[in-house]
Amino acid sequence: MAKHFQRKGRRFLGVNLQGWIRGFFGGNAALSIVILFLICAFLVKEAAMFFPQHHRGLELYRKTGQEYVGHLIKEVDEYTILVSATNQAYYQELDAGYGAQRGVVDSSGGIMDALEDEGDDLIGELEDALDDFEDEPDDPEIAAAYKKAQENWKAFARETIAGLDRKEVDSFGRLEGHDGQWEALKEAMVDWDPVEGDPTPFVAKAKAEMAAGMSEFDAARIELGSAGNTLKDLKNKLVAEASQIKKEAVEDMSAAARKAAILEGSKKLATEEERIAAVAEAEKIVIRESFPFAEKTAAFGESFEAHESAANELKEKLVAAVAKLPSDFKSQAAAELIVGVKERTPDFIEKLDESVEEASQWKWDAPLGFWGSTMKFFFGRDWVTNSSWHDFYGLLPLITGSLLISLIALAVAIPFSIGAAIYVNRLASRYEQTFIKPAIEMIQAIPSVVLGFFGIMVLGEGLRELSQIGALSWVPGFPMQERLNIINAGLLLALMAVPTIFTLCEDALNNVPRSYSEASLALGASKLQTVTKVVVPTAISGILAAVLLGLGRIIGETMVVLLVAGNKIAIPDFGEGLGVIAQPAHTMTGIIAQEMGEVSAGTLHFRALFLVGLVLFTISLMINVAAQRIIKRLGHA
Amino acid sequence: MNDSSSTLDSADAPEVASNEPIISIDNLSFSYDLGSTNTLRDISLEIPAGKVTAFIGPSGCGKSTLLRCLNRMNDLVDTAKVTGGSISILGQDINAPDVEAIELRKHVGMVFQKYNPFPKSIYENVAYGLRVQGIKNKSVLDQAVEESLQKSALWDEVKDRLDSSALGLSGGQQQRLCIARAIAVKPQIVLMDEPCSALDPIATARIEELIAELQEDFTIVIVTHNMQQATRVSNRTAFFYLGELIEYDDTSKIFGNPTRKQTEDYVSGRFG
Amino acid sequence: MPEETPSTNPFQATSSKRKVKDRIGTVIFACFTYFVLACALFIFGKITYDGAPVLFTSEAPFINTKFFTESPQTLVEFTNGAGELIRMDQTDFTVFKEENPDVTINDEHTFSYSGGGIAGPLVGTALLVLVCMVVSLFIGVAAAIYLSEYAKKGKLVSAIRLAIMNLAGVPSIVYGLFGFAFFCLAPWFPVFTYEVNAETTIGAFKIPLTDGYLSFQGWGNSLLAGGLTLAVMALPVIIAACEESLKAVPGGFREASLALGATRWQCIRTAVLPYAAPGILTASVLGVTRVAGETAPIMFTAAVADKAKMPWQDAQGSGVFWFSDMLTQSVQALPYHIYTVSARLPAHEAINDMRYGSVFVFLILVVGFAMTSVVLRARYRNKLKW
Repeated sequence: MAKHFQRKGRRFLGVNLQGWIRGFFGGNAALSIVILFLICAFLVKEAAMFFPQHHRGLELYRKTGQEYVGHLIKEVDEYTILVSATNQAYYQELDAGYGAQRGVVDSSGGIMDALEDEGDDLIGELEDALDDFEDEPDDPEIAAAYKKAQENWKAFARETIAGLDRKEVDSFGRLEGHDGQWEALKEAMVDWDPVEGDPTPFVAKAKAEMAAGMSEFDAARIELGSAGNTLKDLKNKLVAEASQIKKEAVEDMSAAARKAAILEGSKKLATEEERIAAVAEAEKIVIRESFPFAEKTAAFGESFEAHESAANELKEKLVAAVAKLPSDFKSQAAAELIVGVKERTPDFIEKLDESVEEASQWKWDAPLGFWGSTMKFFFGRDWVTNSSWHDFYGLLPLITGSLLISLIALAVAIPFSIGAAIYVNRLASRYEQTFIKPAIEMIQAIPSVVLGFFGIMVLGEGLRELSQIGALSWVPGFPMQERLNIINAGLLLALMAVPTIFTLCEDALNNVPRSYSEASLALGASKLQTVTKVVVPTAISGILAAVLLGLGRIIGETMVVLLVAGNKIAIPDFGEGLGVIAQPAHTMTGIIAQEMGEVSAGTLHFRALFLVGLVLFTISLMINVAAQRIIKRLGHA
Repeated sequence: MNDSSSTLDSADAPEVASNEPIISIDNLSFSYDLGSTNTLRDISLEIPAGKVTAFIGPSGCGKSTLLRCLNRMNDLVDTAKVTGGSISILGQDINAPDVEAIELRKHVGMVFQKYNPFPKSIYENVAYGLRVQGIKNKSVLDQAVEESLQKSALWDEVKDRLDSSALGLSGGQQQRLCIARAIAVKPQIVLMDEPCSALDPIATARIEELIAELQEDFTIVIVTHNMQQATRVSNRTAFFYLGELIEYDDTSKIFGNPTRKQTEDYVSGRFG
Repeated sequence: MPEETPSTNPFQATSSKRKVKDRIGTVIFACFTYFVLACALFIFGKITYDGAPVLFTSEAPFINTKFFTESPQTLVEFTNGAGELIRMDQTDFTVFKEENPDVTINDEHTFSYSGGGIAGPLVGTALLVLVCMVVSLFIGVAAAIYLSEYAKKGKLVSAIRLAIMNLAGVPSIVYGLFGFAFFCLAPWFPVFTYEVNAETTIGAFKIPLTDGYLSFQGWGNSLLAGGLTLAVMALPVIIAACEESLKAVPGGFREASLALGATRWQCIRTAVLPYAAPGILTASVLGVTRVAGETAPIMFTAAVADKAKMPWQDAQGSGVFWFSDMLTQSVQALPYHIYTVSARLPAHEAINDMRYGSVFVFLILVVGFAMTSVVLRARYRNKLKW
């Protein structure tokens, strides 16, 4: 019997047309796996090459003695923080106590500048007239001319001073509320002698008052500022030496490669003579078996004692100077700063001792473990690039910034998005639902660069102005110093996270079976009670997944943090408690966006950025997988 | 596809001797979950050509599943699997590896429970089957469309608006259009899966009349949960229960004098 | 037993305290919701308030045409002899100085990218989106067809779904890194060129009958690399959107088609795709719009701050060489331009027009597209009920 229903159509490579079409679609779908694999592969490839390169860099850092000198640099940096806090307090106190005098002195400078700028010709004339007059003081004509020049100058000065913009001269507003002083200064400056250039008696008096009132503080601050001079000098000397060693070592290491390059290049040269010259030049390059680190860095080993004594000197002088700092202040800010300095001084001394001890442990040939150099990346506290000294690649400040901003954003976004989801899904009227849902979806469409722009132009300034209001000074971090900071970025990211969390949350609430809430309502519970006691607990895993996906979205967000977070690569100072939110920070996404465009492929810096990308990728992947697990468990429950 | 037009040629269509069964099912077992549980167990029956055969039974008894096995629509379910036995149509085992479900379906048409015309014109709906078989000749299409619509008793109602949307027709008309669409490709067998369940009594009556007329040209297998309908339209009736064939005989026998107790209980309305 | 107080209504609200609590709770939730909306509205409002005056003028044609027809250039600010503050574009300033050699110019300041208009960035963004749309729609629709029409449950399909889900969570900057390493730096993507770069790894092949080569030298920072990076990023969104649209086509259409002997592909082509197409298009436009608003993926794959000519004007050669050269040009892009003027230039009042103007245009474009597709989608969903 004839066979029916048999396959028809041509086959190619054993697969018919339908099979090929199916394969085509399947291939496109499988592309997503390929892309995910490629993303992993490219990140891992660059990141994996980072570690050995980074390890060699750190080895060199140790061998050249830079590691040892690094301790001194840190010590001096810490000390400088104390000094600048004291100086800041000094000027605050000066403003509080002698603001008017300082204003007079500053403004007199401004007026002098203005007079000198605009009265250039007149001053010349005056000088000439004076010269003539001094040469021949008895000539009545010359005396008259001199007098005339003086009168001209005075008239000019009076006119110019009258036309001055007070705001421009007194740009810090120190004379605000001291109108009498301002008028007196203007009057006094008319008599200013531009040839001698000495300050007028009025100004000199203000100066003297300032000096007299602040003399004790000034002396203490200068003493404090000079306490570390020995250590600073030692540091500068050692930095120069270590830099030199590093330069030599790097040249030495590349010697073989340079020689090879010149020899290679010489083959392409046109004439025999050029070739001979090039080869001769190449021969001049000495290739050493190994660089004599021990010999070169011997001086560092010998400086341990000098270091210790410099540190001791600093300690003694610092303690003495701190004791001399005044304790009564007119300025609240100055009082706080000085209290801070006094509190931190023992910490500083303790750290200094530790640092000196650690520095003395340094040996150029102490082995550096691979694990150690790897940890230096993940837990390194510095991210310093393009430095003439040494580039540090430490993830800690970046990851801290990223996490801090994300957590703040999440903390703000959670109540709003979940609250809105509950409201729209259970409490709102039909009419409200029809416009709230698409409106929140629209928020998702706002490009992140636009939000960042808004943060720079509007929110930053707005927040700072808000923070200046006295009644709000109890809020942590208020008043703010910076416009671009963690809280600004956090608030904008919160707005970005709201649509994501809202949408997923609403889905989760939708999935709660109607029978549950009906049962609750039938038992006499109110709408709100039903929502909080039945619906939300049932949907809790869906809500959790929504929050996680929201976190994934904000931790990977780039433009807002790049524009708004302040881009300061340092671990925020948690000493201020919640006030940390007013500090600027940098993030993992931000650093890639900021620096990627400026590095060349294959350098350590380039690979470090890829490694940061890999860390970011891993974090978001983990968040995503966690959210999927939660959703899956929900599905099976 | 290259020579698919020949399938329309009745001379080329497989012939069956009138006494031969057109479909014979032999010990068929079928599972929706790769064999863990069998939805159909050891079904054997032979369906004669040129007759109307009804499958009846309570819901979930497997009657629709068996119907969908006949044109391998169950292929669409990933985990569906014939776990034993065979189905032969026109003497060919339809689950044999060299049988193409697409070729099979050209010979075994199907009408679904919920009428499902495409959101196209009436003409295009009827011509759809021919078009996918590669027929482009306008006069052939015109002729086939008219013939099918006449056979399905719809021609007079729609001949003036062949180009208007099929979705504008009433439910009964839409289902008759679906029948016209199914018979336009000239299958030997037409499977009907509860074709009237979504229709009102008047539309149902029209479809039943139509089935009686179509019987002259096609072998019809109809699944129904309506026992009166089975008595009205079918020559033979098979009663299924829990995936097994309980009884299969002439319709008059099944409803008048069933051999099995279960059949009697069911047709007399004691369960189901 | 007769009731003591038969007149009381047993269903009367008893606990007024509970009612108040309920009310307060609802109001709090409503406040959360409307506060979010108010924030969004404020952002729109503020940007519109400051941006619209840049775009519209009080006299005919009421639109600042220059802003849309010129590319960004340097802005010069100075005070003239009369003490008036004047701002003009660098090119105008050069002409002005030539024409008025005696005019006094004091306090001259220049601001990069802050003069002219945003034609270059607009065109660049449009081209990037075009490349992204073509590629991601092609691959996305095909992948969605596979997942929704062909795929059977199995390891491959769950792996594909897992990959798509995870791709959706990858940060945009990581896409940027990937695009940079894969499309820009990797020396294997082919271009048609007249000059052969010695650094190619795979090599260049002379094309017969022309002076040019097919050179596998990589694309560098280019329109193509940026568009493809965006496409890769849009893919998960597009696949999800397309699958949803395909799933919305009733199964009865497929059954009817297959029962008539249609092949899978015939069934998809004639009984599924035509009815899913409008949904696919609107949803994909929404997806692509979101991606088009991103800056991070194009920062180092395509965008440059400064480019005098449009890509097609800069491209060399003719035919396929011209086309290849155009696709491998770097472009200006609106989001990158906004980043440049708002974050990389120090704050100054002279820049504000450019800042607010371009942000306003960008916001209107992105939100406008998104809103249109949301409205179309809603309308289309209402219209098609089968």
